[in-house]
Amino acid sequence: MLVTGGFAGERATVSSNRPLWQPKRPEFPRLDSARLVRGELVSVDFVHRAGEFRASGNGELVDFVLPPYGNVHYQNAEADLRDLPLGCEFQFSIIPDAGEGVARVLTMQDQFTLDASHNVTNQLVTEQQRKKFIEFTKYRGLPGWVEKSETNTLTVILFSGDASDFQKRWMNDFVVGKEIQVVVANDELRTWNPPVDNERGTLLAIEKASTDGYGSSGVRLVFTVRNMLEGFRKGRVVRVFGKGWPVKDPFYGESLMNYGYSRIQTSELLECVAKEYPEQFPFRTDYGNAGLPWYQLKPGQTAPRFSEHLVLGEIVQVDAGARNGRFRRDRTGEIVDFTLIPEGSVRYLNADAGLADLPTGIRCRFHLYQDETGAFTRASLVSDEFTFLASNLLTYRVEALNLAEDTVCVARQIPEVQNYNGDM
Amino acid sequence: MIAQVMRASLSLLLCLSVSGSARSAEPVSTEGFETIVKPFFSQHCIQCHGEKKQKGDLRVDTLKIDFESPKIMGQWEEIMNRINSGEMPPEKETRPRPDDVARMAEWITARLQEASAAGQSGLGERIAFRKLSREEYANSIRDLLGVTFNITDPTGLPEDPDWQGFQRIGSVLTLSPAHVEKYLAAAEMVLDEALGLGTLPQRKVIHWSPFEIRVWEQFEKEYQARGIADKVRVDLVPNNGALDDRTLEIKTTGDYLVRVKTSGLRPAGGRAPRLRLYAGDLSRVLFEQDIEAPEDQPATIEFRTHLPAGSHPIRIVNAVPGPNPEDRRSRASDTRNAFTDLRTRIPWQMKFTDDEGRPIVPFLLLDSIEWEGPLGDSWPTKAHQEIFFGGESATNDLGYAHEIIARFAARAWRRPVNGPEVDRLVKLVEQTQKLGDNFEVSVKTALVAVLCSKSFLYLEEGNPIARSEKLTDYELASRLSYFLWSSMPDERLLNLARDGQLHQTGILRDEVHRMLANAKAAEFASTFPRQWLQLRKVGMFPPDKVLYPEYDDYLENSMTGETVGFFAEVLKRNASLREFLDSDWTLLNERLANHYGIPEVVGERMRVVALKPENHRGGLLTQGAILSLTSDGTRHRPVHRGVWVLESIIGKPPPPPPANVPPLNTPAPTAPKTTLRAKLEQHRADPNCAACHKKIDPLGMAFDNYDAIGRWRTVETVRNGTGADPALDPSGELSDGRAFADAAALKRILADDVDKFAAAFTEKLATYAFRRGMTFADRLELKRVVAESKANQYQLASLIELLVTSDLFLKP
Repeated sequence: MLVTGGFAGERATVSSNRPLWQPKRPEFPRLDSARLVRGELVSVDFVHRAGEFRASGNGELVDFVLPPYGNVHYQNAEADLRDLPLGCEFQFSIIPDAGEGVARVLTMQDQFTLDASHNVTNQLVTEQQRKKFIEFTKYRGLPGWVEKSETNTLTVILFSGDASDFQKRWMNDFVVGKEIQVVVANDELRTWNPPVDNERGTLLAIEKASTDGYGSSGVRLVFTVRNMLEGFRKGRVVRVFGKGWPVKDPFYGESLMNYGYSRIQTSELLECVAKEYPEQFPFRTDYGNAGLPWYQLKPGQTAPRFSEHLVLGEIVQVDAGARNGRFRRDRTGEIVDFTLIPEGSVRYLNADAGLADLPTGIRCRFHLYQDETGAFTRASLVSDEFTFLASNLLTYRVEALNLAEDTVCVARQIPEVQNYNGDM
Repeated sequence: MIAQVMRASLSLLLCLSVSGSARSAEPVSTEGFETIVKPFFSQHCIQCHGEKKQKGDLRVDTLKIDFESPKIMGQWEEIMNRINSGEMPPEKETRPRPDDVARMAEWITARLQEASAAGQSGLGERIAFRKLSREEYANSIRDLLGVTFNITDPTGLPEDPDWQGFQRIGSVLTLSPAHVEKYLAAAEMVLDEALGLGTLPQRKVIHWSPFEIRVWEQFEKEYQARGIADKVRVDLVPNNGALDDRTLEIKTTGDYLVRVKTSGLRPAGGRAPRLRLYAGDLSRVLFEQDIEAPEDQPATIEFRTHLPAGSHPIRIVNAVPGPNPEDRRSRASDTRNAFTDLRTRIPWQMKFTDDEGRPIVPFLLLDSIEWEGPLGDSWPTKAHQEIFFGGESATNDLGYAHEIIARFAARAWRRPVNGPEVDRLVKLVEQTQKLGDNFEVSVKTALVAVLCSKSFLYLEEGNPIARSEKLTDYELASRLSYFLWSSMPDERLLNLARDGQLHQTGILRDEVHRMLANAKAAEFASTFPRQWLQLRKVGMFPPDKVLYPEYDDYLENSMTGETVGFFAEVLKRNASLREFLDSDWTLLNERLANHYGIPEVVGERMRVVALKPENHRGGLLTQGAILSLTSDGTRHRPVHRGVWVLESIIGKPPPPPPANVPPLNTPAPTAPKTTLRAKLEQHRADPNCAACHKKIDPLGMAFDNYDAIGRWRTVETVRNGTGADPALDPSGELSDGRAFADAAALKRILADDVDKFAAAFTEKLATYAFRRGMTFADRLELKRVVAESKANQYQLASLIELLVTSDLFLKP
């Protein structure tokens, strides 16, 4: 039985300021820069704005991530990844793989949107999705990125997948001369603690911007802020709030900060410092510093966080006595030999275990380090998928059982945690 | 009467004295009595308070001035207050002319002043006891034992009360039981440190890393593992309120060398960041300095400080005013970042740098703080070697103890000691030895008694047997030394005294030269102007943070630094007193120069800067310290400024204000804006007020072009009312009819009157030197000093020399 969905395992997510695919922030990719690919949505990780699709034709499984301005159309309206049913076919506009096995999706549209039919039923569905997305966006703020920051004035170009409709749909809530609120966000469009972070300012101008590029709304806002924050820098992402929009903490899991929640965030949901602050790591990580060498294990020293290279695969065989074994790597099928380092540990079913406890054929996560030859064979941690899910309080909900195709469709669920507002 | 207080339980001896013997009649100035007082009494008072009627038990026709009768002087004060407030004569009677009221009030004020000064003179007493100020106590301890006594620490001494700004007036500096406790504890403490009895203190280095300072200890292992622990720094933004105090554990009292490694980034056109280390428990700023060093080239700053044993919460501050850009750090962050460079800042934090990486706020990047100490030059300590002069070979018997105590007491008491005085102290050694203390500890107990004795704590002049007309040479040595050094005489002065040579004019003159050239004269150059000009009041009412957001301790200290430095410079140059009234130079650092709008002064150091007329500065009167010490924190106060000029420059304090003066009216919000001057003029339409204010106000309003913190302006910022802020009018007319257009013109008039200023200044100088107010009896001799000083254009150092060599200086 094939289980799809969930947190895609082996995936390097996007680091800010990665030059390969978006050399000059804050510019949008030219409309002729993308390649169109059709595929079936296999999994989504809406918190990190990432997922997998199976490409039509060759059946290849493709990891993808949405850049901050990347957008989704579903039922002829803009949507968030969480709105999409798995298994649905989309047309993806992607920037080809930049060498990390992850495609950048500039826009994705379902067949319904492509057909854009106009019968009544369809309009109703579209209207429902549109309403849903507007509510979603008002709660989180309109995303955009900083084009310029000077003294206490910010210029921000807003993102949208539908520039033609944008001005009419959104700009009634922004009035020149009136107050505007803005919060800092990361590339996943996640925010920290908007009720505290938010900067109030006065909207000075609403200007027309070029729509010649993927993701631009064609609208530029110029406004003042009281305090210039670190996140108000050219190319960084912010979210702005129109008149009457709630400025609240994001829901548990989306928030980059644990503020106001009754439960400590799991590491998977926390701000990934290796990704956001690569300079704090003098070595290459799965999240950044591609130009630096990997961390080398030193005897008797605990390796720092994020120094490991995460690889997923099925256990093929283990030798508990010799503390080594081999696994079949996901996707490539490559057989990898590994040795558990003296300080290394094994987790199985969310409990400490030994190599001998791991049944052959089980899918595991390997924290690997380079050996003398540079090959990733030295494991500091081998743990099964259940341990990962359990320790991150993640569960899957069964969405569909497709017995004919011998598959189960599941949706990832983050824990239900209330914040101090009673929101979940 | 001499009272002795014995603290037998502690086996310590403390002698103190209070004066109170019968005085001989004090000469009284009667000038003006016949022409001012008598006519006023006969015209307005005698009807009810004369021979026939004595309403309220007061009879004025026979009332005389008697400085020794508090009752009579009290009656004079009452008369002044009643006349001044318009209460007397009663309403139904003819009103006296306001000018006459003012003249009466002034005459009585002058007499009350004299009475007060006469009370301090101690004339008629056989011995005058004048207590050391707390600064003098600390300086004497330093010179005697070589250790620092921090007077403002909780273990220090209470602030000395002042009389007209002078915090060293014998009769004002009283001794309370609290003092006795403090002196005992202080003597114990300084002797413990100086003698270093017990084991050799280990010199240690206490190192504070950024992980400790920032309370980032939980990150330390992680950063070590990453291999960038040495890159972690403490980011200090302006007013960093969220940085917790860090506790410094000091095991041994002593001097410590502190090393701070830090970068300091200054925004273009802005202020440099300013590092301040503050010990909360001691209420003491240990160190404060502007720091400029690039991010990748931190500077190491070193300073020495004296720290008592104990736990000291140290606050590390970037002391630059302005909004606190760190307030967003007041909550916990899940982002486990220790600061390593500017790119590690979290997006919701305040921005330090612009997009090109240039600083936009002044901030510090601190790498480490090291506390090294206690610093000791030798072991045993120098003081130990001097006091236990016999070394290790000496026999520790009472004979040796006698010798040790006699030597020490002679130095501490600044005079030869007699047998019985020492015997009494040796008894203490005997007693404490019996209680089980070893020799050194027992001797220390006697030394504590020496430091708590009247002869150490007081300047004694005179002897109990007969009245003396002249100071002894030892008394003279102390008077001179505490005048110019605020400390005990050195060996040379005491030797001159021993040889009976000090009182010789030539020798005295040479000594003044020598002493003024000594580094210790900085005490005089700082303490005298502070007391004369009442600089203690600078910042007493801190300027309103909303109205004057740029005002900070640095500015305040720079202002005081200008005035004190200006005085020191005049002294160093032996320049004329005229410079105090007007000058084409002053002392500035960058902070104050910015405040004055004078460009191209860079750095914290005070230096001489040439002034142009358009700078609107020069002399004392237009210095920030003087202009702000009279304000109340919200606005300038012309009347207070006028009173200050009368007190400090002209030397004629005005009568106190009558009771029940109504406050200034706040104008209706719909009325046009008016200057404070206009409001005051309305306010004192009452002719009774006008008489005195006519003399006071012009002297203050002349400086209306300077706001409450001494900035130059041409219009007055008025909050209430409509229309534009009104233009200022600093013009005025002195009571003798001389008119002036502005402060500069007034300064010229005052400079023309330099003779009067010299007389007033000399009186202040003498008050400081003699530690008492000047009386009528001193006037003649002072006049002579002033007249002689005129011959050399009132040069300051020469004037000091003339005062020291005058007969007055040699008199008790």
